[in-house]
Amino acid sequence: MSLENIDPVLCNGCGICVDSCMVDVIRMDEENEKAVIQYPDDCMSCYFCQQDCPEEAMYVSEVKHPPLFVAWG
Amino acid sequence: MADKIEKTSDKHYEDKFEFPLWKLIKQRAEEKGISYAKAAPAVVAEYTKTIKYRDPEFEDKVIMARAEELNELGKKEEKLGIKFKDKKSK
Amino acid sequence: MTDDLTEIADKVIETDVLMIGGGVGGCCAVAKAKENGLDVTLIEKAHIDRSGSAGQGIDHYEGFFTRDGTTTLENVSNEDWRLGRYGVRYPNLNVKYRLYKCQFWVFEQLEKLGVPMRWDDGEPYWIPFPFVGWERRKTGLRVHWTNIKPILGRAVRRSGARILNRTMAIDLLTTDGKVVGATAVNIRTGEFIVIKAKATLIATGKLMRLYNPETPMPWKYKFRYHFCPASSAGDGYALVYRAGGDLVNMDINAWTFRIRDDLTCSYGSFSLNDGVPMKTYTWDGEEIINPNATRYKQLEDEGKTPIYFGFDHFSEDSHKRLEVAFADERMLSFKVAEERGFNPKTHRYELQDLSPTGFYRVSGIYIDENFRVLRGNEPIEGLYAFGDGSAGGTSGVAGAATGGLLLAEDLPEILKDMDEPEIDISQVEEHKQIALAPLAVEEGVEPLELESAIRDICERYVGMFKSEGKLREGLRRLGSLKDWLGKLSAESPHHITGYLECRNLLDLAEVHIKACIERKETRGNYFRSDYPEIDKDMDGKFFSQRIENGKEIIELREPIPLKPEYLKDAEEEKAELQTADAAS
Repeated sequence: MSLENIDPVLCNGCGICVDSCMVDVIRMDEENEKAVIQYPDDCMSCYFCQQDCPEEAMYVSEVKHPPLFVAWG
Repeated sequence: MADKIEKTSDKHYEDKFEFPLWKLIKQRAEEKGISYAKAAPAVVAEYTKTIKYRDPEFEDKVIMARAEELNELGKKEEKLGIKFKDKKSK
Repeated sequence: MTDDLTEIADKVIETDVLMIGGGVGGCCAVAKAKENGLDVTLIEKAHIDRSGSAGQGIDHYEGFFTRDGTTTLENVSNEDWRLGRYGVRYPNLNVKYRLYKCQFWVFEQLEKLGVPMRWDDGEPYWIPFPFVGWERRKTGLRVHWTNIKPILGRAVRRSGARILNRTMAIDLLTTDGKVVGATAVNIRTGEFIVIKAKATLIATGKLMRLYNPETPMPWKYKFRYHFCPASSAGDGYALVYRAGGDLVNMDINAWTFRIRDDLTCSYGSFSLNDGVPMKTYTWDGEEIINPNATRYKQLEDEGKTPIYFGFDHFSEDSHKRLEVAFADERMLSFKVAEERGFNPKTHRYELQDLSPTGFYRVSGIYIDENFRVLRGNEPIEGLYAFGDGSAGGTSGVAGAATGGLLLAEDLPEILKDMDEPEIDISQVEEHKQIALAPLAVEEGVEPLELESAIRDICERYVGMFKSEGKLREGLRRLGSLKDWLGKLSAESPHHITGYLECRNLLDLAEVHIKACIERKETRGNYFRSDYPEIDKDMDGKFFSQRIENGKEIIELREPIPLKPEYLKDAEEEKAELQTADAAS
């Protein structure tokens, strides 16, 4: 899982992230009109939702990646 | 570079750093209450003015310098028997 | 007949033009076809605002030719930049020719759609190109296209075209060898849709997902592909193949450098960096020329890998340019790099090893210069393809946009006297059964599991260094996976996507392996350990594969040469160029 949290306080229910997600991970909660993570396993951490959110409500986590092997300087 | 930096990586990853352009994009998004994607175009337009994109003389100079370096490197590799295929070279 | 259809389908749409895929190419085609007065329906697996390979933004637009002698019409049509020197050619030279001829018209068309081609000061910025006498070749534009997809999405909505987002094509509908539309499923509601169309256009991106992306968790993080993972399942290829169209060069997949660990996807401007390329290093800090596959193999044998890109020679100005490239294409690279403490000023980027990536440029759907999909030597009526998924040089954002716009310009004339398409109900029933089957499977296999198994076969039994035995074993194993398809389950319509993608990938993996078995030689980055030499007889030739009357057909073909009138045009241009050269 990479999209870890959608802050329900910050989320204004605009639904942009629901459209931005190319793999259909995010849906609108009809009742309280907030975006929710519906299919967390399918997130591919493209960060589009975070990039398009006007309220900085999305949190895409780096933490759950396995250790990465990065180049030395 | 190799002599300036040790062949270990961990140390460098502890250093916090920020990309100046990213900081500006985040700032504008915050101020205007818009997304990073919406904030970017205006910030990028301003930022490009601080870069010598429209200075062909400067660009030609650095491009030529780098191309010379690459040509030298190519010759060195050819001497080692490595075929350097840049068929489009004049 | 429509009465019967409405009983089977949740929705029946009749349209002039059905566009499958809403990336840059699809959006351009739809907006233009609508402007030309046609009834247009667009189906898109994701949502047009951020879908396709340009969803993350675009930083460069290639596709112009110049008269400086390096990219004349003649040589762009004849050669693929990377593969040409190995004797691998575009299957149809006329396609590229047609694209290059209209670039400045496309420039205007894109501006009309609201795409910023020029910078803030009202001028475009031409990318200076290194190597070639370091002159300013006017072949590529640096563009600030973070929001190219939302911009095109808006243009499509304004055009009034029928847009079906979150809708995935199942298969094409054919009648007497003609394509008469397609069936589709809404992956949110499970709605089964039949679209009857006079012309069906396919632009669903390039096939990448037969091989692992550059990430430690390849089975999961599909985004680690350079291009859009949703579009890289090769849906369009599979639709065409099952409908009897030819796929070509499916043995030739690209090997180009990719950066590991997702540190950036902004690769285009990044690697050339406005004429000041990065430095390439071996692991122990020796600077080398960016190696080709053969050289990389040597380096590997010498123990010199991994290979890194370094930017320590960059001036402040060049570093700022890199930042702008980040902002233009895949902006969140900033966040990823910062959070990992990866600073391009002090760190080097590790590059991928010698492993295959996607199928593009010379591979994919076989088309002619009018973007008609070919079956053998004949075009299939009603079926068109362009963009990354078609073979022949309509790749990249420029190829996709140009292909879409040109075709949309031709369509009114093509469709003028066309009869209403007739649909074969039994096909519709069959498609419905296929698409909705996994909803009824309880406790079945997850689609991701099957996809991983397919990719594992390609990685292990095809990979970079191929041989007859490995390929045959791969093919055998692939055959045993086919039963899995019926075991896949979909808890909700959302999961139908993964299932249909697996169905497509299974077909394409088979096509790929069979083509590899046929090409018994080593050429460029195509390595056959059991045939280590170039087979001269294969120069410029390619394999095409299709299904005819239920039988698989594989043929060796030669590229379709430039048409006499195009050739004349190119020769005139060459002569002009020589005169100009002599004068100067």
